[in-house]
Amino acid sequence: MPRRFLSLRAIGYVVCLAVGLGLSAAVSARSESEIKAFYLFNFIKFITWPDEPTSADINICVAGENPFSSLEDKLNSLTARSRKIQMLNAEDGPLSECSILFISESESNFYETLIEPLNGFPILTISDIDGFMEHGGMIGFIKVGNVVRFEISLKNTRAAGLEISAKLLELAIRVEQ
Amino acid sequence: MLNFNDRPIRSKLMALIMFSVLASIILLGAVFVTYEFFSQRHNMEQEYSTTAKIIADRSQAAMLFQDIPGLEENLSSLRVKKDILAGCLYDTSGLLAYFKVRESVDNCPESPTLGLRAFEAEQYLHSEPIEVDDEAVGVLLIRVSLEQLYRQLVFYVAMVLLFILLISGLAFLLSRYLQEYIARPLLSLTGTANEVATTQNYDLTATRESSDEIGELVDAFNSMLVTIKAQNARIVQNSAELDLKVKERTQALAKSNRELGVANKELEAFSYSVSHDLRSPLRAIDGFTRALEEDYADQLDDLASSYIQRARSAAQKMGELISTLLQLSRVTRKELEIEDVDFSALAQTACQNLRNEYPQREVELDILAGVRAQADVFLLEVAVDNLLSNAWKYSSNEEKARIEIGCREERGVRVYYIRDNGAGFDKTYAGDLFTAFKRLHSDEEFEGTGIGLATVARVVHRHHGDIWATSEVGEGACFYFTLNQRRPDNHLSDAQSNSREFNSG
Repeated sequence: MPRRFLSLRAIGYVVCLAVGLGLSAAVSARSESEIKAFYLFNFIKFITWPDEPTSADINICVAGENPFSSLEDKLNSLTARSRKIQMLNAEDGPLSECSILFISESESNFYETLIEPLNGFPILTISDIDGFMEHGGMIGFIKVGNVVRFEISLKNTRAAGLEISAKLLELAIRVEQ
Repeated sequence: MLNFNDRPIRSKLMALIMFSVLASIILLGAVFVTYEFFSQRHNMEQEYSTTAKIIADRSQAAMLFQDIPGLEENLSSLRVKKDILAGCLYDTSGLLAYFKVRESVDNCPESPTLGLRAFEAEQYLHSEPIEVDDEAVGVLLIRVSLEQLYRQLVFYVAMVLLFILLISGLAFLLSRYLQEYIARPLLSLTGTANEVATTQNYDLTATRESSDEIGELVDAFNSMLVTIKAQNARIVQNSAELDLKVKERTQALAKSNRELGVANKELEAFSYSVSHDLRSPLRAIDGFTRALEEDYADQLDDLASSYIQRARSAAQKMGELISTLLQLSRVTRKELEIEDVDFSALAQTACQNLRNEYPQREVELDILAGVRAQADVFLLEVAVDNLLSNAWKYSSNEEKARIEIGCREERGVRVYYIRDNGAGFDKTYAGDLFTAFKRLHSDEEFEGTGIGLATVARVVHRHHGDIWATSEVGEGACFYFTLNQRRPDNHLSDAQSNSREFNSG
C-alpha cells in the first residue's frame, strides 16, 4: 500500500497531480519516525484540551532520545488550530508547559516515574514503548507488520481531562476503556 | 385551409374556446414540467450535498491517517443511495479510494475538481472538500445517475400530456355545450331572416331565447319586421287608394272630356248652323233693300235713301261676321294635313289680295324669301291672311305703312313673325288679344269682328305651337308664332294667348 505525504498547505481549487506525484515519489520511502511525527501532529486535530488557550504555542515535549530531531525544523514550521507547533526537550523546562509528551523508547525502564507526577494534568502522553498504556500512558504506537498503528487508553485520557474525537478512536486498533 | 372568417360561428366559438384552453394548459404544463425539473435538480443537489458532507466528515481522520480500508468502508455506505454510481476519495496527491456500484461505470477521474455541482448528460457530479481544522485535506467526489430524474420527468410529461388530453376532451364537450347558448339563437335568427327574405312573409317572428345582446338583436329584428309589415300595409293601402283615385280622376276626366266633346260639337254645330242659317235671311234682307233702292229710288227722299244705305251696310257687316264665324268653325273642325308649305309664297299671295282689295293704299311690304313651314296649307293661309289683314288694317293711319314678314331662329326655335308700324296696342290688355270678341280698339277707330286673332291662335295651337305679340301704343306691333315648338325662353313674358281651350290637338 503506497504511503503518501500529506501536504499541509491549503489545498487550492485544483489539485495539481504532478506536484502530488512528485511529492509521493519523494516520500515513498518514509522512515518510521517520519510517520510517527506525522501521526503525532495529526493527533492534535482530534484532541481537545481543557481550558485551551487560543494563541499560545502547542508544545510537543520529547523525553529521552529524540527520534524526530531531523524533523524538528519541519514540525516547528507547522500550525494546528492556528497555534504554532513547538518541539521541546522535556528536560529543558517544566512539564506543565507541554501539551504533548512523547516518551522515547530509550526511557522504557523508568518512564513510569516520568508520567506518574503528571497524573491529573492535561498532557497527552504518547510513546512507542510496549505496555505503555498499562502504566498510565494514553496513546501507544504499535507496529503491525510494516504498518504503524496506534492504540488509545480512553480511561487515561479521561482521567487527564482530555477529549478524544470518535473519528480518531475509530482508527485505533485497540481502545482501552 | 379555409379563411377563418368564412367558417360558421359554431366553429369559431369552438376554435376560440379550444385554443384558449389548450394554450393555457400547454403553457401551464410546460411551466409545471420545467419547474419540476429544476426543483428536482435542486433537491438532488441538496440531498447529495448532505450525503457527501456526512461521508466527507466521517472520512477526515481516516484520510489523515491514510486508513484506506476505513475510507473504502465509508464509501461503501453510499450503497444505500440507489442512484449513486460511484464515490471517489482523493487526498492532495491523488486518488485514495473509490467505490463503484456497477462495473460498467467509468473509473474515477484522476484529479477531482473542487466545488463541483455539475449536471452532465447522464450524471450529476458532486465534489465535497474534506476539511480538518479549516484545512482541506482531501476531496470526495460522487457520481449520481440522472436516470431516476429523467424517469420522473418523463412521468411528469406523460401526466401533463394525459392531463392536456383529458382537459381538451372536457373543454371540447363543455364548449359544444356552451357554444349552443350563443350559436343556437343566432342560427335560429338567421333561419328566420332567411325565411323572411325568401318567402316575403313578414308575419314570421324570431324566437327570443336569451336576454343578452343576441336577445336584443332578436327583439330589434322582430320590431323591424313589425315596422316593415306596417310600412308594407301602408304602401299597399296607399297604392290602392292611389289606384282608386287615379281611376276616379280618369273617369272624371273622361266624363268631362266626353262632355266637353259633346259641348264642343254642339257649339260647333250650333255656330255652323247659326252662321249658315243666318245667311239666307240676311241675303233676303240685303236683296230686298237693294231692290227697294233700285226700283223706288225716285220715290225715296234723301233720308229714306240714307236709311236704306245704312240697313244695307249693316247687313253686309253681319255677312262678314258670319263669314269669320264660319271660318273659325272650319278652322276648328278641319282635319290637319301637314305638308311642306312655301310660307313666303303664301304671304306674297295674301299681300297681293290685299293690294287688289285696297288699291288706293301705299304699303311697303318686306317679305323674306324662301321661308318654308311644315303645316296644313289651308289653316296656315287663314292664319297668315288674318295676321296680314290685321297689320294692314292697323297701319292704315300711317303715312308710310310698312309690313315685314319673315322667320328667324331664336335659341333653336323657328319663330315666324309679322311686324307692322301701325297703332300697336296697350300691353296691359294684351291678355285679351287672342280671345274671341275681345277688341282693344273701338269700331270707330278700326273696324273688326274680334274673331281674327282668335282664329289665328286656334290655327297655331292646332299645330302645337305658340303665339304671342309685342307692342307699344303708337309704335306698331309684332306677332310671333311657332309651329310644333314651344316659344323660346326670351319671349316668355310677352303677351300671349293664355287660353288653350281651342287647342283640340
